[in-house]
Amino acid sequence: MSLILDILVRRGSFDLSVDTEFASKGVTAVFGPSGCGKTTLLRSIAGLENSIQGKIHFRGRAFHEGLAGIPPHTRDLAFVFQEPALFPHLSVEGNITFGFERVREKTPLIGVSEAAELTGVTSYLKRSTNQLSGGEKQRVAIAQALASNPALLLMDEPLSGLDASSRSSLLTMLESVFQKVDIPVVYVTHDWKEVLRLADHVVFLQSGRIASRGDIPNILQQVDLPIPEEQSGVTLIEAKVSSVDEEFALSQFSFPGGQLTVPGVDRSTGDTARILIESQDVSIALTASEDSSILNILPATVKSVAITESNKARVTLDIGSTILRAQVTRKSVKKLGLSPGLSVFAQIKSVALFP
Amino acid sequence: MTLSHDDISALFVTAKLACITTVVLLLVGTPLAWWVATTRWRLRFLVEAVVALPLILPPTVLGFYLLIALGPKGPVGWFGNGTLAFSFTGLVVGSVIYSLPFVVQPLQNAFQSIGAAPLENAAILGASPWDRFRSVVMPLSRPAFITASVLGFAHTVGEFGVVLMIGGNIPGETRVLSIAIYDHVDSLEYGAANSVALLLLIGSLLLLIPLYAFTRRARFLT
Repeated sequence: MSLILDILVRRGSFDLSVDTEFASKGVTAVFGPSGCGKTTLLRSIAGLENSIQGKIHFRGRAFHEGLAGIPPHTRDLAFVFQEPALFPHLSVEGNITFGFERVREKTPLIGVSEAAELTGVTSYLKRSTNQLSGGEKQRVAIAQALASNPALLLMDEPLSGLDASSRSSLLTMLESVFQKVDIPVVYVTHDWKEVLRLADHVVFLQSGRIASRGDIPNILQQVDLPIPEEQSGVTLIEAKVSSVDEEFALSQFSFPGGQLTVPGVDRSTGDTARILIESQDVSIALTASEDSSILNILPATVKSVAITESNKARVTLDIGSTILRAQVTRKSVKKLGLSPGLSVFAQIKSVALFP
Repeated sequence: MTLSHDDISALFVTAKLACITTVVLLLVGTPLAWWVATTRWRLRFLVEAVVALPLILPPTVLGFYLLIALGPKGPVGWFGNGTLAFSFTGLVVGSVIYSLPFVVQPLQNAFQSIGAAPLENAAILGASPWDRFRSVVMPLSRPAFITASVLGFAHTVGEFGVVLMIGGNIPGETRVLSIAIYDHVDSLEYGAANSVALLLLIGSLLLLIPLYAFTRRARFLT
């Protein structure tokens, strides 16, 4: 009872050939470089592409069978485009209402005002869409999609056209939307950090084929995932709040590899969260220094060492079945004698915390 | 400066002709413009060229072939109980063909400028093809519909050659204002010609001024 695909789409010399099943719950990220067929895949599911062969079934219903598909307006899904395609003749509210008014054969669970609240557009509902910034437009597009009460939400790189600060605020908004709204999402992106922050499952697409797939965080244990080098430095740890230190405004998180101290006390004991660690914030020591300002020092084992540049190296560490990536200088590799199997201490200078 | 009884009847014929022609033009021109704007047919330029013909063709050429086609021996000559040539219905047919590019071209441009994205979004949000046309295409092309209606109306009011060829000069039936002016001048009644000509000049200006005022504002807003 989910989204089943077995399709072949030919576009000149390129062809997309996908035979897979998407999870019926949570966020499935489709990750890959540009030109790998991510957008074609998403548009095929939505019924916006021509000349598709094969089948697309969603919850037992045939969207596409053989060479023919049902029209997009009957598919009960929503699509957030990379470039928001709002209706310029309608206000923000009119745009959000457009899909809500066309909900058929079911009781809508999300109202217009609720969709506006979830996406943070309530304060400019009466404005014209011409007066909105790129980030605001994309928020309205997401509200519009949510208010159409879809059974499936498709998102095509919704953040890639935005500047860094809107991207970061929309990412936070999407995290809370995905937590509150129970709609399966297929989220296309080429930004690995978005996958780590938002997705429950990931499908790696390369040259029109599925290269790998799995659940997050389990799949992150694989060392040879097809992630571009410049994006692969981030480590994701799923951790649980074990105690809160009100005096110093710190929270203690536990995970299979040990304990992490994180600034902030906005979570209560027992909550889970995703912690992202950038490889340049991880340094390596041979002994656990007691006199360091760094709070997070974890015992680790070197798993692999790879020279990435003339002066830099990527060291993969194993901290109690969690993979942690560190970026150090090539000189340090030599000085410390870093090689697979060596017991070391990982010093984590800063961490970022997500819901 | 007063209008004679004949001239007032010509005014009514002109107004009736322009109104009916405009309605028919919108009914025929809208689907035609939509088809030309969206078709993937390789030879659509042939249709565009034929639609644009009245822009450059002398009205007498168009009128001549319409006269043949609508005449008693023409392919569409017999309509009801008389020939279409020298009838009001014939005038409507001629006017529609003659003013077609003035309606199709602004609409086609407007439809093309909407682009695929808002229509794809509307489809995804559950709008059927007709619903998409009604709730997205029509409101977004409103300035073009106004332009097309005014131009179609004004151009029909101003036509002369085609009417002369296929309509003749039957008072109360096919005698329109532009023909009345010609008749007055022909009979050296310059005063009467001036009355009618001035009426057309001022009427046309009153049609076009708000049109341009409106479309300028619309362009500024979008």
